[in-house]
Amino acid sequence: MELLGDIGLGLSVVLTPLNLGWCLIGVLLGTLIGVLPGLGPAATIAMLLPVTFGLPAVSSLIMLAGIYYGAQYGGSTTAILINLPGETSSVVTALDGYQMARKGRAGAALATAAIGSFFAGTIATALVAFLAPPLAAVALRFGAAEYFALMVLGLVASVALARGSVLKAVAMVVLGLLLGTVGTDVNSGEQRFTFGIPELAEGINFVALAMGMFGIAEILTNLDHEATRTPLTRVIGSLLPSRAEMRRIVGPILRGTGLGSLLGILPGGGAVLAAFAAYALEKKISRTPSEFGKGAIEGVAAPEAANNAGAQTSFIPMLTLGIPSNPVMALMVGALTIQGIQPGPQVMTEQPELFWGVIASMWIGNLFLIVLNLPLIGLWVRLLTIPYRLLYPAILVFCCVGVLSLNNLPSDVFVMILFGLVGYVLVRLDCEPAPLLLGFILGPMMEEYLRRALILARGDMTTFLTRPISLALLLLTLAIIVVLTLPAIRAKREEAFEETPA
Amino acid sequence: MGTRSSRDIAAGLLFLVVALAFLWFAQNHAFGRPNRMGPAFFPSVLAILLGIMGTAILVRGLRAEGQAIGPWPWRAMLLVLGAGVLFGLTIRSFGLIATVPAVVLVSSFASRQARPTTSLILALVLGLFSILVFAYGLGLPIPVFGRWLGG
Repeated sequence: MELLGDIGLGLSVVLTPLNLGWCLIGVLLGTLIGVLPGLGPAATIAMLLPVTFGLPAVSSLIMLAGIYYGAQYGGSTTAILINLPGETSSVVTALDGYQMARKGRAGAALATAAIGSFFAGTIATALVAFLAPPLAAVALRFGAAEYFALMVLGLVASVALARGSVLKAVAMVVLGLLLGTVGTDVNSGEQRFTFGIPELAEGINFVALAMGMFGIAEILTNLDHEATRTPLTRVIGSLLPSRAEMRRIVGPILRGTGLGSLLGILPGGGAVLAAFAAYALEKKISRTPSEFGKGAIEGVAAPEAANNAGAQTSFIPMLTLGIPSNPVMALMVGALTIQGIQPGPQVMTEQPELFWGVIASMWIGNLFLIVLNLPLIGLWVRLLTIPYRLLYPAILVFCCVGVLSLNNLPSDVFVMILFGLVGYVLVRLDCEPAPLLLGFILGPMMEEYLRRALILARGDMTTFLTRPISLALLLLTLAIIVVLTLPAIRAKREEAFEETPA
Repeated sequence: MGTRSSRDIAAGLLFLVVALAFLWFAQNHAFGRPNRMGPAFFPSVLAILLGIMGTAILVRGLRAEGQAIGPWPWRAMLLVLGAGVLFGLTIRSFGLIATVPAVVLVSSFASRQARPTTSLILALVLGLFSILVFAYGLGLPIPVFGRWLGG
């Protein structure tokens, strides 16, 4: 019954006017940016990091989390109504959701998405509450060698589930780790790779790097694909799915929730992969696979449940191990570090109100979303008429003001712009920026754990192989690398991401 | 586009150059031994790893077919990144009131669909918005008028 007490503690933290307010702001902002194409949760959270300085740690995390799962709701609205997925995780929802809308069943599709998301969100929140404490208990017994091995595993696994070339993704991780070494070395006090620039003494500013890579670089990427859009306002129709439709969505929602929760926990997983996998699964087990792509309600229910479940369970590795599984979680780690909290298993014992408050806020946030979003659909649709050419100058200004307000140093603006350029060039060369960010945030921790592990082992490199947990983690890493390089698996992995509509 | 992947070649070269640069500058620091890692230890090992991977990507690009990089959108890059640099250069001297409209105006022409009147209106609206929200609403320590405008 300890769990009930913990959840009660969490609820008591969330159910204060202040935190409820931040939760509401978070989910509304999340829905908003989910609706607006070309502005993702990573960029938004990066932009808002400076704002969170003045907030208590709990409030800032509650708001940032709300943005992440709120974006999944918003993205599906536009995917269904105008075949324009606001988020990558809603790409598959557009396949059948838009077809349903064309048949006059937009209301039912939207309601299915909302019901599926809410159900998945509830289950996933419970899962986080159940799984996190035992995982954290295990992690508390980890020594430096185990932590180092765990980080290697996390970084390699995050690559495994990313799109595109594995080799390039690993190179991006290493590049991120290297960028993390810029600045004063904590042990010797020597300044590394700073070229005597005083602003670099404390390392490359994480927020400036993240904003550049996700905010600025994304503006340039989106401008590449700028096209004239004529959004259509269409009849939404009855909001309630029919009885027959209700029966059809139960199975897909359950399976989507299960699959999504599982994939969310894995490093590199999260909402996007969960949605793709759930859609593929439903299509495979359906008795009428030919209906998929032509308005099958199962094709809306499953990925919507999965992306919301995945978005929430991806908090588990971040909250318990301090290891982010995707760029959004890396930004959350950044937000915590800025608040002076070192993410890791000790958070649960030392800051229970933070840990359980965030978990409880997820369920409250989902409740907000389902209550608020269905009535607000009209407003969201109208927002879609904002063209990107009016949006990106605002994004640019917000990024500049945000990064400047960090330390009041114009040099941070220049660092952000530089990484905007670097990020854009890398994207053009098919190198995804997400692994770099994960490497950058884990780099300093990894070096420290490596140093400590080697000191304890008196310089004996085999320490990572003689300690059982560390050995198991490294063997798992090796297995992932071997599996990834097998041609058959590589083909399958590419296939999993192929469901994108033309 | 031919038999080579220029994206892989460029990416491989980029990683290789960065790796060599880190390796070169790591020479300024002590490498140490495993039981007493010097400041150069971790970066050097990483740089060697990155160098190996960069070479592999480069070789793959030279051997396998792939996509061309395509033309760079110089105009958009110059205007968006330039506007950001402009912000960093002028915010202290001119404050939000002049800097934000200028940044918006410059960057808005990165879009091929930009129209002067809309850009002007957007510049004024966002200028006003940022003063009200950032300076007065959130109380961020960013000057509204700046040094040269008597702020």
